[in-house]
Formats: sequence, C-alpha cells, structure tokens
Amino acid sequence: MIFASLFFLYLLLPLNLLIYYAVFRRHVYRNFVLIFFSLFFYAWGEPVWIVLLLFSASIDYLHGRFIERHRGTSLAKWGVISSLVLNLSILFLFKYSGFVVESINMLLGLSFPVPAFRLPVGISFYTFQTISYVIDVYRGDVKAEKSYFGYLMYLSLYFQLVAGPIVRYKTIADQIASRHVSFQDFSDGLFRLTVGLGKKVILANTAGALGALYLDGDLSKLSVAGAWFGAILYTLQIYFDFSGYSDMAIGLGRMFGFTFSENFRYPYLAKSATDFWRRWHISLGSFFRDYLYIPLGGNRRHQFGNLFIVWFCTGLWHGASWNFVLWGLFYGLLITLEKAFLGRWLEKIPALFSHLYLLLAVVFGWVLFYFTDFTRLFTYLQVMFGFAGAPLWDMNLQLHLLNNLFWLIAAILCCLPIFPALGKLAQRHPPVATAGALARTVLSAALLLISSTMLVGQSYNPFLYYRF
Amino acid sequence: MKPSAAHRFFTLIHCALIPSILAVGGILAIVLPKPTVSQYERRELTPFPEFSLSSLFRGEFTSQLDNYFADTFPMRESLVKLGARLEDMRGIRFDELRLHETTPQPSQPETPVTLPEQNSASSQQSGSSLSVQSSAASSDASASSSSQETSSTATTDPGTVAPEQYNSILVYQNRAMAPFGGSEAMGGYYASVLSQYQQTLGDSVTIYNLLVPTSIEFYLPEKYQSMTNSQKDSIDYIYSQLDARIKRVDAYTALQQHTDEYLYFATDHHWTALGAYYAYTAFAQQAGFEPKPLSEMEKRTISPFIGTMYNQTQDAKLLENPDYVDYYITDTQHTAYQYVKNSPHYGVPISVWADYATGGNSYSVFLHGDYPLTRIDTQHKNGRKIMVVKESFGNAFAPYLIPHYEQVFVVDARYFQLNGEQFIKDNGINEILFINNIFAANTSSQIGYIQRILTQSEWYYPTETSSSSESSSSSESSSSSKGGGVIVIKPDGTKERVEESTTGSSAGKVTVQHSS
Repeated sequence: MIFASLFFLYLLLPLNLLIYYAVFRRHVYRNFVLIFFSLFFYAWGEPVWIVLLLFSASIDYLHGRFIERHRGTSLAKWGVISSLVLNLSILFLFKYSGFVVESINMLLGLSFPVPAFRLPVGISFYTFQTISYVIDVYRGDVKAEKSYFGYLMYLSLYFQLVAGPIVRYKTIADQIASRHVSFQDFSDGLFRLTVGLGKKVILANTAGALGALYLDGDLSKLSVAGAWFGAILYTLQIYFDFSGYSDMAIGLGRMFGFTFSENFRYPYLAKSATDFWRRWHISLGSFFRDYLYIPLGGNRRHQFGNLFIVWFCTGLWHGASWNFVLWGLFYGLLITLEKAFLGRWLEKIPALFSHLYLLLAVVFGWVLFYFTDFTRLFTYLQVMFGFAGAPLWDMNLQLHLLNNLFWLIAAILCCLPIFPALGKLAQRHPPVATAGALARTVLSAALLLISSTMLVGQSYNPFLYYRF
Repeated sequence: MKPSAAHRFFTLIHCALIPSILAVGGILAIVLPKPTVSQYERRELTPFPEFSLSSLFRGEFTSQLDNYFADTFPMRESLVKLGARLEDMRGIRFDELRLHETTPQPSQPETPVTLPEQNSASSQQSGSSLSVQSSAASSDASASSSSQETSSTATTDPGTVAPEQYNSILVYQNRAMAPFGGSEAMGGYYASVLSQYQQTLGDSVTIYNLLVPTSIEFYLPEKYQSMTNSQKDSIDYIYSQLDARIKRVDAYTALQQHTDEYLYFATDHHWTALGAYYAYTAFAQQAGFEPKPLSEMEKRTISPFIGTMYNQTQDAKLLENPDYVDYYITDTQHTAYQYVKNSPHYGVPISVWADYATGGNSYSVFLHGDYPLTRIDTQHKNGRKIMVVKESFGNAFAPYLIPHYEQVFVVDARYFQLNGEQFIKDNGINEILFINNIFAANTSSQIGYIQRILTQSEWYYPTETSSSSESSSSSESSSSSKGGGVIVIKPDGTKERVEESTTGSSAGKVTVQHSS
C-alpha cells in the first residue's frame, strides 16, 4: 500500500488512529497496534514476501542479542559478519541476481538462465535499517533491543518501511519504550502529512504525467527545449515524490510519537555536489558515510578508492541497472573533483554560478537516472545538448508551458524553504504564530481536498478506446 | 514562549478536523450505496473483488480492492469535475488554446484479434488455412510498406506499431481536436488491405474508398499547424497506393468547400450529418447518381449534445458550449434490420434513426450506434447492392445511400462475424464502400479488422459465463484483475457488457465495443 491512496487515507489511517488512541491506553498494546497495522500495510502490497521481512526481523533481533551477550569477544565480530552476509545475500538474491547474471551473459556472450525475482517492496530500506542496527549494537552505540516485538516494530513501522527514511534504531530506541504525543506534536505531524501528500499528488504526479510526454515520447520529435523541459520536470517529480514521501513518513511518525531525522533539506539550493548530498536523502548518504566510507578508511587511507566504492554502491543501491551505477559514479566524480580543487573555486565565484553549476549537474544526473535503456539515454542527451539537429523549440512545449504556468511557478517555489522561513518569523512574533496555526489548518484541509480530487481522478477513465 | 490561547485553539481544531474528514470520508465510503456503472465515463466501475487465496497472494485482490475503493468513492463524480476545474487553473489559455494530454498508454502490440475456434465443423476445416493466409498477407503488407518507406526511422511494421491514440487533444476556441499522427507505413498497410479486397473479389465488385478528414485539418490556426500532420498528405498517399480499380472518393475537397458550416462537432470527435452529407455528394459523383438535396429530407434535431471529447478532456469550455445533432430523414420507403452481436444470421426490424438518443449518446441517433451489421432494404429494384464497411463515422453517412440502392449492408469492421467474401457472394453485393476517418485508416487494429473480414470464418463472441472462467484460468495477467472492462450504454439506457475475446495470447486482450 502507499500513503497516497484513498484506501489508506480514508480507511486505514483513521482506523489506526482510532484503535491506537481510543481503544488502547497501555503502551505495550499500542505497540502491538502499530505492529498489526504495519504488517497489514505491508502485506497489502506484498502478501508473499512479508515472510522475508519477518525473517529479517527475527534473525537480526537474535544477532543483536548474540552480539551483546558476547560483547568484546571475537564471537561478537562473527555475529556482525553473519548478519551482514545474511542480509546482503537476501538483498543480492532479490535485487541484484538477475542483473548480475544478465551482465555476465552480456559480457561473456553466455546465456545462463536469468533469475527473475520480483523485488520485494522496501527491501532496500529495511535491509539497511537492520544492518545499521546490528553494527550500532556491535559498536556499543546502542543497547540491543530486548523485546522481539519492540524490534519488529522498529523494522516494520509502516511510516518508513517502504520508502524510507532509513531510520536508525538508536535514534528511536527510547521512543519504542515510551512515547508522548502532545496536541502540538499531533498537529505538526498532520500538517507534515498533508504537505507531503500535496507534494506527492499535486506536484510529483503532475510533473510525472507531463514529463512522461517528453521522456517517454518519440525522441525523434523532441526539441532541444522540450528535452530540457522533460528533464526539469523529472527533476521536480523525483524531489517532490521522494521528499513528499519522507514528509508523510515523518508526519505520521510524529502523530504516533516518533521523531525521525529529516531526510531532505532543500537539496536544489545546494552550491556543490558535496553540499547536495548533505541535503538529499540524508539518511542514505549518512548510512554510506558511517557504515562504508569511514570503515574503509575515509579520507585517511586511499580516499579516492573509497569514494569510488561508496559512489558505485550508492548508485547501485538505487536500482539494479548500469545507468544507476553511472549516475552514482557521476556524483562520485564531481565530489572527487570538488575535494581536489573545484570546491574552492565554487566558494570563490558568485553564489549564482555555483547554484547554476549544481542545478545543471543535478538535471543532467537525473537524465542518467531516468533512462535504464542506454540507447534512449544517449539519444535524449544528444537532443538536450543540441547534437541531434533537433529544433530548438516546439509548439507543444509552448502550450504546455503556458497551460501549466502557475503550476510550474508554484512547483519551483516549493523547492525553496518557505515554511522554515515562516516558522522563524512566527517564533519572533506571536501573532504570526497564531495566524500560522489557523493558516495551517486551512492549508491542511485544502491540500487534503485537492489531493483527494486528484487521487479520485486517477481512476478516472474516460472510455479510452472510444475513438471511432 | 508559550503559545497563545488562540494558537492552542487552532491547533486543537486542526487535530480534530483532519482526522474527522478522513474518518467521515471512510464511513461514507462504506455505508453509502456503491454504484457499479459510471454513466459519466461510460464504463463499468471496478467491482468488489472476489476473494481467493491465489488472487490474494498474487496481490490482485488488494489492488482491485484499492481500485474498487477509488472507483466508488463518495461523490466521486463531483470530485472528478472539481479536479478538472482545478486543472484548468494550472496555467493560462494563451490564444484560447489548451493542450490536454492523456498519459501515454503502454503500447500493446496491435495484432488482429485471434478468433475463437468453436464454430461449426465446416468453417473449422478452412479455419486454419485461412488464418495462415491472412497472417501471410499481413506480413506481405508490412514488407511492401516498409520497402516503400525506407527513409523513415520509425518502426515500419504495421503489425507492431502501437495504435494511433488520442495522446493529446487541443481545445481551441471551444472546439476540441485531436492532433493527427499517421504514417506512410500505416497508410500503405491500409491501402494494401483494400487492394487485397479488389484482387480477391475481381472486377465483378466495384470498390470505393472514402477517407474522412477530421476537424483539426480545417480549424486549427496556421501557426499551430506544426502540431499535427497533414491529413491531406495521408489521404493522397493512401489514394496513390490503392489498386487502380478502386474508386477514390474525394470527400476532402467537398468538406473543405464548406468549412464555415457545421461539419464537425466541437465536443465530440465525430462529424455531423451535414459533414457526412457533403461527403455523400462526393461519393455520388463516383457512384454515378444524383445526390438528393437536403431540402427534400426532413430535418430533426437533438440538443444539447456533449460528446466524447469532453469526457476525455473535462475541459470546462466544452461543457459551456454544447453541440447539437441534426439528422435528416429520407422519404424513400425502406426497412432496416439490425443484426446484433452473436446473431449474424438473424436481424430484427429497426428504424434507421434512433430518435430517443440523448445527451452524451446523441451521435447514436445514426443506426443506433455500432452494430456488426445493419441491412436496409428498399423498393428500388435497380440491382445495386452495396456493402458499407465503416467505423462510427460511417453511421452518419450510410442513411444517405437509401434512395439509390436496392440494398445497403452496413458492416462495422470491428464486430462483423461472417466471412466477408461469402457474405458478398451470398447477397449479390456488387459495390463496396470503405469509409474510414483518417485516424482509423492509420490505426493498425482497425486495418486489421477490415483485413480480417475478408477471410475470417464465422465466429462468435464467447458467452459471458465461459469468458470469465476462461480468462481467470488462462492468463495470469488477466484483464479481469482490472475489473469490469468497458460498458456500452445504449441510447435507451440499457447497458451492454464488453466482450472479451479469448485470444490465445497471454495479453488477454479486450475487444472493446465502441459506443458510436
């Protein structure tokens, strides 16, 4: 199931709130309510591979306990290794086995049967969560969870289960044991939820539908400006989609008393690729930093090799296809250059240019990210950079721009930190805060209404084959 | 800093309001009666899924339940309309022009529909050889068209080219128009299929081809013409490729001379009876008779009419400017028989015009919409018997032929269930008119249907019970999971379910009954 569906919003969520808050008072029961709803939520979209989630939760709960019992001995180390092998094997089997066999076949001209596992929803996210838990326990950063259900709740919590953020156990360990939710918390969470919903449904879905006309269309009819427009729409789509989802996860968390770390901090305002990755999908970047880059030796030993490995893995994590690897290595290259000399330049030149540099890199990066088909990727890039002899401008684009002008402006504005600015203002002026509380209520309701009309509209099917 | 009392009050309101909206929506969704059909969208809504363990484990049960919930959401139609309003506010209509896009459909390879085999024993004998023959012919056609079209970079195999969809619709000054794509490959395929008819039937049958341009050809301002391909070029190309014996009807020029008249609907993709009339005058030239003047016919009107283009775009401007449907009754004595689906040998007497057609279905006034076969008998014993092979544009046209023919057989290429060659012989048909709008003549599925008629053996749509059991067992990705399919709402308000053709292929393709 996904958050941006009528079934979740109008049935499952109110039911969950009702049972959680009105029926059960005791903390333990409330945790069971959350586990029940989380498993239901997951099983809704993944009725078979939920066993994998339960398996992962069980083995890592046991690994955690094992490591803690044998802390300081070599057994603890073996515990970590065993957990890593198990988790990464599962991830490899389901996510990468087909890709690897296919690549080997292509490289060596062989024809091994390609395994075709369907990727279980959220496996990339929860595998990383569980890895971070086991390593943190080993490092002594956090105590192992005593209760199996406590651990199961941490791993399966539906807010972040299917699309992140990658929540570390140590950040919410206390909240598993006890939580308190004030009205202010609940209201903050609700607002975050509706804002995320609006980002996903009003901005991301619209950008996606419009962008698909350019990205998935007939590339021989694409104009240069059209190619850029498509790439920019995808840039908007992926940000609003992903950050909207994180907002919803964080918002839902707050409504139930969890405080998740921020996952996005206005990434398109960055001034360098290094800066971008401190703002984009923060929980993933920090995961690779803490559990891969630094253990490899960070910037103390063979830094460039480490950067290569990290960015190769970052790319590959996003999907089992070479274009994601290319995309990851592209950032790896930029960040290496920035560490070498580019970063100092970028700080000296006017901010406008460093912003432009980053935006250009990001848009280019998303084009790499979008096309899993390399032929289409290269054709698209050729059109974008004027090597295909395509016209500069076309009439469809002009109409799309005009017909969506206000929406486009709104979408671009939503990439800017407007709410934080208003929040700061409110902190200084109480009347603004009061007005803000009212405005929030109205905005929440409006976003919910608009999103609902659009979600209803998605099943709108005006008799597609009516034509003759 | 402690928040003010008002602040806390608003926070409380917020906490109470949003969950209440969600809960009330959910309760209404459960307690309100659930519609099964959307009159507005002309389709059957996703039904509540049947539970089975296998559908649960395949994820079909839950995904259909999601669809069911969304399809039957309280006040869904109002919300959809509100959504359309909001969509209109996304930008400005420069030049009163707005471009509506439908998300590109995943293109399914279009192949002529495979036919069920459980027919009479006699037809089954020839069935296999015929199907081989037709597939060979289709690859012939693709070969010939690709050789003519070597310069084109596009896929030139008509068998695999995705059907020409209305990917976008332009609304210009309250008139909705679909940009035309079309390709020489498709046009060549169409021409080769018609030529195949002439070659098979020989000189004893006169074949006419009439291609109908659509409104975008005449009503889009010059500066936006780059958004659509020239229909004139496509028509000229097809005419240049046809067997020399086929008579080309120049409806284009006839229509072009009257573009200041009401030739096309603004909210619907069809032409009006007046547009069809001018095409009829062009046809009369080729067929060698004098067209009846409109003044000799009785004009009737249905109003208002808001057509398919509105359903597609939800464009408020279209809703504000409805169309009307004029139709012209001939005084020639005639009797018409309608052969519905799965009744290819037995027709029921019926009137040519369905006076009761209203609202969104007003275009069905002509021949009641699309049926496999409509036969019209007249008192003229002049020996002229014509078969009109058409899609829905032909519906408005066919009635004009009544005064000139002894018999008119109106055949809808998509649904006709008999062997065409045999049908032509049995009925002594000596003229065939292929009338297609230019989009249809560039759509592989439509061309495939026309090709199929000539060689197909008599076939039947599977009955409802057998089709559902077959589709659920045969293909995993069955269309049943999407629920329902399409419903055709007939002018009299009754509905007709869309049949699923039992294709042997995995796709579980749905043959859609088009409503006019």
